[in-house]
Amino acid sequence: MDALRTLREELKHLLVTTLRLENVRPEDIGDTEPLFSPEARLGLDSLAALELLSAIEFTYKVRFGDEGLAREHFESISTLATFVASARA
Amino acid sequence: MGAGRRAVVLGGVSELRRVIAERLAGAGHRVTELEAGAAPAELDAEILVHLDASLSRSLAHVDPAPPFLEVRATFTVIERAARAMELGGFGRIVHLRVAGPASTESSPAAAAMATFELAGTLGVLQETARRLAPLGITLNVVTLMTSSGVPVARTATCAEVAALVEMLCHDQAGFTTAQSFSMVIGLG
Repeated sequence: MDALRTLREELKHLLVTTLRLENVRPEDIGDTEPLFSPEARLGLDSLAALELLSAIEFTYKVRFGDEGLAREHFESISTLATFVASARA
Repeated sequence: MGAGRRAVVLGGVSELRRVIAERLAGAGHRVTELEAGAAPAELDAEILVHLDASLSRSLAHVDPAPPFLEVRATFTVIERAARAMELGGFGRIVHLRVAGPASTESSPAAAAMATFELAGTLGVLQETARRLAPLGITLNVVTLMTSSGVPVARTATCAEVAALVEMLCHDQAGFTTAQSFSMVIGLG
């Protein structure tokens, strides 16, 4: 589980740097905080998803298949981490 | 065929720019990535992919610049690039922008400004593309729509955007000009 926790922290950093979020610190992002829903604090849109996805693929050398890009994987840092972990395995 | 052109991918957001640059390099072009605001001399290329400032603003949740300034900035970059392309009698220009609910739903005024920017961009595109066509230079606009309702049950990838861009930059795409393409990238 430690590996998953590390992955979550890495993804928070990746999210902040890739999307150049100036007013958000990685440590302020909750593990299960919604990322993309309209009422979410971060309120990321699909351009952000596009960028983030590409950054994850590049950083972790994983390829997401067509079925791997569904909305539920983008719900939170936690779901993203679980997904990246399984894609790397 | 179509290989070895000088290409510049300019401005916008990092991942999309990187993936487009890789795609063009994969097609055999010599690609330079530049940040927005690059010196005019650096725009000496046969292929220009211009990632509009709207892309970075969409991510940063920053209010758009006044539409007039926006459209003028686009026009200025395209004109500079076209000047270098004229000499070689070949050019491919793709202007990539983003549009979505965020730019129109916040207020009626924001919606009006977004409409103004769109009309201005497409107007400049039409006029400029007509003028450049006899010189062998094509100019097209690609708009990424962040709204939902995409018929594909997943989000788009940078590679899929890059594929459309590469197609428009192809040597044989010389008759595709003055067109506006939309790609819905929203999570359906």
